[in-house]
Amino acid sequence: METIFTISDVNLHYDQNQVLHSIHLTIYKNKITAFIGPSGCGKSTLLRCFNRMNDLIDNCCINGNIEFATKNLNAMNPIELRTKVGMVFQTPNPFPMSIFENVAYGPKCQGVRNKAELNKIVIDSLKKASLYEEVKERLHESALGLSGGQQQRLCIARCIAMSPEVILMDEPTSALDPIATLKIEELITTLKKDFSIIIVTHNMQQAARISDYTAFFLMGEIVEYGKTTDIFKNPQNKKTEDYITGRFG
Amino acid sequence: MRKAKDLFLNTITYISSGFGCLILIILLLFIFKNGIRLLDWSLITSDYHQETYQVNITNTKNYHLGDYRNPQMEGVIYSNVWGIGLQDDVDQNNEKIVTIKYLAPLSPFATIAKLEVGYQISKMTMTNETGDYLLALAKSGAEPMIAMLAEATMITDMIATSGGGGIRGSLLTTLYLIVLTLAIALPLGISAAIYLHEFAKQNQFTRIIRMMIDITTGIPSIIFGLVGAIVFIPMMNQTIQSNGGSIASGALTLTIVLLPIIIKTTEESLKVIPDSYRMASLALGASRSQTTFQVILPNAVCGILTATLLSIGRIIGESAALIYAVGTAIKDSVAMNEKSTSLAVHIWSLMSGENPNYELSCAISIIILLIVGIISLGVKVISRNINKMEVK
Repeated sequence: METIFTISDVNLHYDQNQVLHSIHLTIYKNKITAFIGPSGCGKSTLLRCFNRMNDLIDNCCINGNIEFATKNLNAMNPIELRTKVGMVFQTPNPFPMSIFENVAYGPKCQGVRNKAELNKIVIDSLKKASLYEEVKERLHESALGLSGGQQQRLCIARCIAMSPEVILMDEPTSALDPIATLKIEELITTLKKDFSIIIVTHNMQQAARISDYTAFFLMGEIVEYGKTTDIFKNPQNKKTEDYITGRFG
Repeated sequence: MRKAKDLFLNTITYISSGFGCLILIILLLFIFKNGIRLLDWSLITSDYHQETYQVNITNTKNYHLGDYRNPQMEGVIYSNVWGIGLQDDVDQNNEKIVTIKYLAPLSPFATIAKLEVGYQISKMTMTNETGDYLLALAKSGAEPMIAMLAEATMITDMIATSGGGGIRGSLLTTLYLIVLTLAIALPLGISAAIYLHEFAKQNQFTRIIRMMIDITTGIPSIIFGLVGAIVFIPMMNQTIQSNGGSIASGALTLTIVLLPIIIKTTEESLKVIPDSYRMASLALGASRSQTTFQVILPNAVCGILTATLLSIGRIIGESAALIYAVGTAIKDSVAMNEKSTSLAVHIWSLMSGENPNYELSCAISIIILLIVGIISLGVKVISRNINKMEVK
């Protein structure tokens, strides 16, 4: 199985406060990997390492080695890296522009100017995010008029428009109702064949339903990592078992 | 007990806001009551300085007196011998004047003396058929003047004045100042705010800059005026051959006055833009400047408009900073490298002479209030439209 990210011995500090302790992890290509764990355990922080969004935080210090398809992450240009590793945030955050402009924003920033080409990218991306049928009549209306679930799928479409290799999702359904959540989950499983997906979630059922691999985080350390079926059916660690059976967290 | 306390506190707020409203209303009433009489289109379009004409109509071969048509205008006293219609009036200093309201096309006043409708006649000396001199003065009114004209055959000496008391020059200067100052100050201020908020690391350096900006907003503007006099006037004397103050040096002085206001207001509007927009844009592989100019700046337009409005208000209202930099001499012909007055300094000039002219000052105040009112309405309409676009 091909690996997309190899993380070895990563330590991360915010000022004096150590958030990640010696993380070792391998993420596989075209799989859905879920990060679970209680709040403040460092899973979102690790997620932001993959597209170097932590660089934007002034007092953040990362030690260790992360490889993205055998290339050292720190040697890459962060802007180029972010076109290959997209990200979907916790709350839907479409730009206050039209739906079309939202999806076309990324390609435009990369210098795609051709109208026909942009049009094709936008429509393809919206179709892949299974949003096209709902919005095809109003592509040029403001994206802020969409419902929360539609906005989140728009954010996913915006991400797909860059044709990345990896999509990072930081609790993408925590601000949505169950029906919108279900749609996003269906979407994520269909996206698996084109993209590698890493998803942070608080919802253990969600991790069990959609992911292929699961990593359980606690206090900035990975307690257990393996196939989702193994983790949920047959956890090796007592703490993992306690967490997934709801005894704490 | 609590009820009484609440009532007491609420009453204080009612009284205070009522008091504020009352003062505003009294102020507006005072200005309008005093100034409204002078407020008409000619105030805005005419020159401040009067043009005086001394003419005579003595060569009897060149004109004929007789039966000119009476135009039947209300309140106008008409002489069908000379073809002229006059009306009693009072000027801005409340002195009686006689204004020409009608001139027949072939009237000697039009063809020989080249007078026009709207000119004021202050004195007229005439002779009748027997050679007697007749003298008509403006202060005795239009009626005796017309009566004497009926007998007169020649006008031996006549003094007429045109226009005067208008604010065209000062209005133009103000508009020039607004355009020029905004053209310099807005790009500078907005760029500085973007640098401070979007690009600069928050460290000792930016803290010091911010502190300086805060202090600058509190400096009395006469000090900026001094800076203008010491720095910008010599600078402009060198570059655009001005002599002493000029509109250009005034605009530069105002730029310094405005920069802190623009920077602060723009930065406030950048602060309220959610960080999630920046994160989303950066996560899509956009660079910092793409993020700033394509996502952040379009969302800060409302704040920038507010900054512009505040700036325009400040430019129109500023007098102390301009007294040295632009000058206090009221001018009718306005040029970039010459002295003139803005509307506010015009008021200052009118009021600082020996006979303060309250009425004209109040009329100018009304115009200033109107300009500010129209601009703020315009900004409201524009920003509402922008907001509609965002929520739609």
